[in-house]
Amino acid sequence: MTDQKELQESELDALFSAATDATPRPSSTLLARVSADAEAEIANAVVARPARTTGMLKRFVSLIGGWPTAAGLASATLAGIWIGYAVPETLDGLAGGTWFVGSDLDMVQFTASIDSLLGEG
Amino acid sequence: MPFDALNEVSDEALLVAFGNGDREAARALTLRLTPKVMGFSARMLRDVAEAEDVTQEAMLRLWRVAPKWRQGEAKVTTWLYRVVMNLCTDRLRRKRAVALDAIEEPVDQTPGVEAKMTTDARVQALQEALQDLPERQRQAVILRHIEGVSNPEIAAVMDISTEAVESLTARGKRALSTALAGRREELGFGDD
Repeated sequence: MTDQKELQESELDALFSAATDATPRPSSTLLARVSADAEAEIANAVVARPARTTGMLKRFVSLIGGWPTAAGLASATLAGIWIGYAVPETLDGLAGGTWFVGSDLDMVQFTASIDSLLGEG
Repeated sequence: MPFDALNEVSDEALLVAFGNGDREAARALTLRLTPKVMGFSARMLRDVAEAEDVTQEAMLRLWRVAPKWRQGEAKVTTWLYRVVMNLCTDRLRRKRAVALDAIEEPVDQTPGVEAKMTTDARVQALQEALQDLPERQRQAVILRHIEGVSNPEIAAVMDISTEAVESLTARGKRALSTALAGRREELGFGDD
């Protein structure tokens, strides 16, 4: 008769093996619960995604001072783009034909003429 | 994608697909991972109903982390085992706290059939001996020798070094051997 104070390695392995074989399996009810949770998370994500986009837009608008500011910003942006594309031909048109019709603004001379310089000499 | 084709797909790829709303990925992950989680939690808690609750909770956390999952950082099973380990630890601590107040509350001894030379008797005896191990040793031994998880993965789950895992499992096995040595005959090992 053996008087071992410990199980042999092979005996312990046999116990582990028995335990592995007897591992509790998830019931069909549990699998259904887990699947239902997964389905709910997918549904939540679908609902949450558009809401998150709206939230970001709202946050941005409030950050710049509300909808009036946003409208002003949009107008300024569009005007800037238009001016950028319109120059140079249209600017002449604007200066001469639209806003300054009849004015003498285009005849103002900011530098001294050569005649006055010659006269002084 | 046909469901069978998902057998070859990694846990991580399935999780990312689930995070993008793929229902087949959810189904594949459920069938693949729920048994692992259930097995580990049932061994830790020795209570099927509680193990089922822990399993559902751990899987729910997995579904929720999916959209934010950072690929390549950790194995899905490592993350999951860690969640299960923490959930089980919480429950066991709560149980112990309640047990201190309880009067003569018998511990849930799953009514083991009489010890015979059967597999049931071996499983039962091992479970009992496991419960007497310090918690960390028990976790390491279950993961290594019953769930078949590798030492490096256990190290990641338990947030310790591989050497520490080896030390825990070695001490755990020795303690189990000693505790069960007196029951050799009952366990069907007989006399040599």
